[in-house]
Amino acid sequence: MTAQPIFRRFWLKVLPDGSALPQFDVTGKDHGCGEYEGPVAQILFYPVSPKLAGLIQSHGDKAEPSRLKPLVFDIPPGEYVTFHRVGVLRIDNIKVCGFCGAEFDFDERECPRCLARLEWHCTKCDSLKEPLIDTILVNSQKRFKKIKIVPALQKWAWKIAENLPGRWSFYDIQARCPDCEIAGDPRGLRLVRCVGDSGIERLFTHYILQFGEERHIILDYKVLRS
Amino acid sequence: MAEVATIYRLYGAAGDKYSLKNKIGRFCTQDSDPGTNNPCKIPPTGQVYDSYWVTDCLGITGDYTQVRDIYIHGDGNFASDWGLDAASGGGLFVGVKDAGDHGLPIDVALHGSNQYAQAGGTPGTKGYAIDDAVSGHPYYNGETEKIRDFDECDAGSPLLIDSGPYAAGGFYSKAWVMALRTVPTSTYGSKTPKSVIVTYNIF
Repeated sequence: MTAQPIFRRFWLKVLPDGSALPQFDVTGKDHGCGEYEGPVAQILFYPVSPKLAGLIQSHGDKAEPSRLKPLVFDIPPGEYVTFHRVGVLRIDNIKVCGFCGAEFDFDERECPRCLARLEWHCTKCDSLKEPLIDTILVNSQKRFKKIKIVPALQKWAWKIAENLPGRWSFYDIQARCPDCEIAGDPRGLRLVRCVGDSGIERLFTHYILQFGEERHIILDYKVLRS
Repeated sequence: MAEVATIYRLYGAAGDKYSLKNKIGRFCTQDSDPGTNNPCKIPPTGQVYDSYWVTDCLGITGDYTQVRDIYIHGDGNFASDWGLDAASGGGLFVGVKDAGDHGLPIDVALHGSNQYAQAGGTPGTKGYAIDDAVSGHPYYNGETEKIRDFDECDAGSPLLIDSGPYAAGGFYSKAWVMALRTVPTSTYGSKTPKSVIVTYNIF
């Protein structure tokens, strides 16, 4: 998936003579903020409709219909206006399922579609096992010790280690077969990597509109607040 | 079509550009594809280790009138979230200039010169520090400040990489050069993912 802006609202410039310059023409083609920088009387924002989203997509752009609130900015006559879009690009880490190809949140431990996850194999039992996991810590004198951390907190093992008395640091983990342990023959398990780490580029956009003493930030997405 | 934005990593002798799409841009102690080989090491007592420096840039294609003002920033918590021990000198550092854009020119036609320098060091152990007077990055190691703790470059004070402007037709921005510095009290182990965020103004 390429990092492109996803248009959920579009702008429309109303010129002093009453004519209008929309961001997207009747075919859905995008016209950037900078194509016309002459005087304007109003800048309006409207949500993208399902029909317009389809037209925009036909040009290779990304768009989603939305119910974002329409916005109207009246520009006083003769006022100097600056108006542009801001792109915010970031690469976020995700997990990718090695079986079904689903992409899912990096913090999830198993694929939400096919339930694949990192598995552990015991060569003696020749089966997949739910491992006994010991976390190995090391201190500045190169002494080692093992502690047990619940699986859900494993990714914070280094932080937990830091907070133990004695200046311990996270070193490694050891996964052992529970059945061999009971039989008095402790054995390590081999990791079978069924999900992998990957990165996804995400591009968020917003608009900056300035005139007179006013500066407006217009988001092209909805912020969910808990 | 509106713009398509991509982050590239440059490596190798010539500084070839490789998209970071579908990849994780790790810091490591080798100058190649940022996989899990040759991870960063914790140094012995009394020493400081740097990762090989990484050289990343923004690439934009598509239709636009002008792009300018390219900044990068983080959440200000790299050192604490990765247990790098900032108080003892550990952290994520970025090369900075004393004046003008902090980005590294990497294209003669676009930026006036190509100042790319391949990362080097001892593979599997440590890289040359960006600010090392002898082996450091030649575009930055002669400056007064040389490097800045990237945790200072948060959303409130992003780092200007490239003021541009770039006219229509696609471009690669100047690059940002970063390295991870570990100290003996930095913590071992894999780290939680974090993002370097790139912003730009498009007209």
